[in-house]
Amino acid sequence: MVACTLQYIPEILHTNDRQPIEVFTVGEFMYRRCKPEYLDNPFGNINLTELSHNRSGFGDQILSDENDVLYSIKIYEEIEIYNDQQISTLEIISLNQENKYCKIFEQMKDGNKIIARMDILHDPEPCMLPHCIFRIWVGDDKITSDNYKVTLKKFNEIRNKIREELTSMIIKERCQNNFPI
Amino acid sequence: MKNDFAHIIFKEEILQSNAFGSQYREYFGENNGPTFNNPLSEDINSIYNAISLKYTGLSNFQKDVLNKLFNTFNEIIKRIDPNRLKSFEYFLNDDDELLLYRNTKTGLVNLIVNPEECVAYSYIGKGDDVRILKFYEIDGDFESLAYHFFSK
Repeated sequence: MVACTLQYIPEILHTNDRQPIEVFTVGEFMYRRCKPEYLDNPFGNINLTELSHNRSGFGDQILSDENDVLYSIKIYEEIEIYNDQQISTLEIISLNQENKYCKIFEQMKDGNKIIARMDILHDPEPCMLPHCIFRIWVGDDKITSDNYKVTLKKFNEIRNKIREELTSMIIKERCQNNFPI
Repeated sequence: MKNDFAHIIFKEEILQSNAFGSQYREYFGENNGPTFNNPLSEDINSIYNAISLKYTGLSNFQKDVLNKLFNTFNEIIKRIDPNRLKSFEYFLNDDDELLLYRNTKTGLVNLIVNPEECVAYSYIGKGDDVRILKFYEIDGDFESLAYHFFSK
């Protein structure tokens, strides 16, 4: 893993040589920043390509505070903190027997059963150890911004089911940005 | 949607409603504001016009659904307590779906109008496990859909 070079990111968030933690815990929080105008309905206005979140960790393995998701980890961005954004918090409410998040969604289309899967993957970035993504598969296709229009966008019922699933996990509607400046 | 003359007739109709006429008279008397916080037919029509003007790229399917939906809103005004009609928000999302939604004390209600296929109704309760997701075709029961939208 490449070392984090952003000086304003606390050392505790640097990934360094730490490995992804593949399992999750029921009750663990997932934090996502969003514009205040979309806080009421944060998953209504976005396409569903690899949604970034920060995981909180759980118990004695706390990985991040909710405000950490407001840090910019992109070198080319001029801002350090998204002070104009707020935080939407999800709670993991169920896991499979391997303590992984994996949800299946189905839709009939033109006589065919379409099956999609949504996973949460711990995907550390050099400057953000708790970084995770919601990854979606339709059949064998991993959904990316490149293939979104010809895959997931064609399946309205599945998209709505995924949005409903994500929205049902929201536990805090209005978490103010109280980042210490 | 109704033209101005039809509005006047419609207004008279709901003012004379046996069940809620007195409440509508109160609303008309007390609140002449242009927003949907005043839950009257004029406001419903103004929201319809605002959506149509703001999102000029709506598909024919979306325009048809919107028209049918808002006509239904105007119809059910005659039959439900106007206090049940609360304001709602709307936007066109990145998937070109038109979302009408209400974030209430009990939960989040979404009406999602897809560009070409269907309308989805979803309700996700707060503080309980109630989750509803239904899909409607263009010839579906929009009256029940409208009641669902405003009843939570």
